[in-house]
Amino acid sequence: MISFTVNGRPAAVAVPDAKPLLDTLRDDLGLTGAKECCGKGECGSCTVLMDGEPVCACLVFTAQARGVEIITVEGIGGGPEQLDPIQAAFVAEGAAQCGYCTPGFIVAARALLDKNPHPTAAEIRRGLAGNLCRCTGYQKILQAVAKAAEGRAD
Amino acid sequence: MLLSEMKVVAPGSLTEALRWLEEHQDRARPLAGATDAMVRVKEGQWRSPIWVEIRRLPELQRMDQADGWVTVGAAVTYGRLLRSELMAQTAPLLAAAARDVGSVQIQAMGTLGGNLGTASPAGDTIPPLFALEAEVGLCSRGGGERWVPVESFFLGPGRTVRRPDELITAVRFAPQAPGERWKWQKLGLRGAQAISMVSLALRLQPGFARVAFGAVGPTVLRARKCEAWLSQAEAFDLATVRSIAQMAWKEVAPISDVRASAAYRQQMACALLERGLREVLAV
Repeated sequence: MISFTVNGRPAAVAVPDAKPLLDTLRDDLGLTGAKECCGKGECGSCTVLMDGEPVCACLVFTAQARGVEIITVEGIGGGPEQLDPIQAAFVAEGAAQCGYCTPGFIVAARALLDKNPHPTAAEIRRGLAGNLCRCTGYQKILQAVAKAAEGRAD
Repeated sequence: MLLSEMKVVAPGSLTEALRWLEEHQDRARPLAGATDAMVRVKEGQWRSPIWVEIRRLPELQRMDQADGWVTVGAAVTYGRLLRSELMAQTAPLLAAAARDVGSVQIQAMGTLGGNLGTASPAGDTIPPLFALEAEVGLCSRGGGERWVPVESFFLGPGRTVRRPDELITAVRFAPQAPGERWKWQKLGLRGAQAISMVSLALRLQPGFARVAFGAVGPTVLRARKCEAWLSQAEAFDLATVRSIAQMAWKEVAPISDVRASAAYRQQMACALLERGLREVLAV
């Protein structure tokens, strides 16, 4: 068994050591927020927090998560009634089109604002440079993160 | 070998990790941040029966300065390098390269030792280590510790002098001089997430120059003719800078691949050197 914490709850899974953590989260723990896209660390759609650091879950051996604390997009905010400010800003700004990249962006943005609550525009761009959106542009996403950083609720 | 047949062991100490490597030799592989390893595994390569997890070994986390050496543990991540006050003071060239690796996600997991072990000619921390004339620390249970000059460490793409029973434990180098001029440059398709087509680490002091290029040969290489001319130049005007930069054309030995042609890489090696020199020398 491989044991770790997911979104504040203990988890123990019997999976191959080298199974990508993303697959374990999705298949074995039912947490389908993190998405697989490129599968090799280039698109960020599988971003989760591992001990507070944003990582590509598709590149982590599940055995490497032994004893760590994982936060997925499901663990950010308190559900539809208590959205995290970043989630609320994504809704307010319409910062999603197909939505596939959105969980990765939300987690990466949370990691950025946890470390740097008042980032400059350039720091937001750098913090999100590992996340790709192929639907639209990035402008609304960047606006949403800037808005969440300012704490505006409109 | 199937992915499900691979086993990850998590030794609690360096000694225990070395025992796994000694006992299992070619059947065991060190596992650091996994940012390269998982990609290779998914491609059907690197199907090692045993992976020895070293990412959290306390012995590989050091970043310190003593007796003229700056020492960085093999499991120090790019993220720690680029945020380190010690690196900002003693090796800003290396910190700048760490900032250009992948993305924040890759920087959180990828390690300095892993970049050396993967031994890609395009590994972004390697040109700075060549320019710093760093040494790579290798440890084994039977042979203890040895330090290998980074230029002798690489044998070719993906190949190093590390024996199967050895682990890369640290890198050490003399700090950059406080007033020295330096420049890190990387040419890729975009700022983040791009594998380098050409990269350059440049250090200049009066009578001293180090020029190391990445992704233009089977290993990172130093442009020694450029270094000699730069260290002997009495004054730097635009014509001198341009003629020295042009020499890089003959010093690099690139291949054509999916990222760039050999001819383009040769021209860009010269261009990066000229641009870097003009910036640090203000000509």
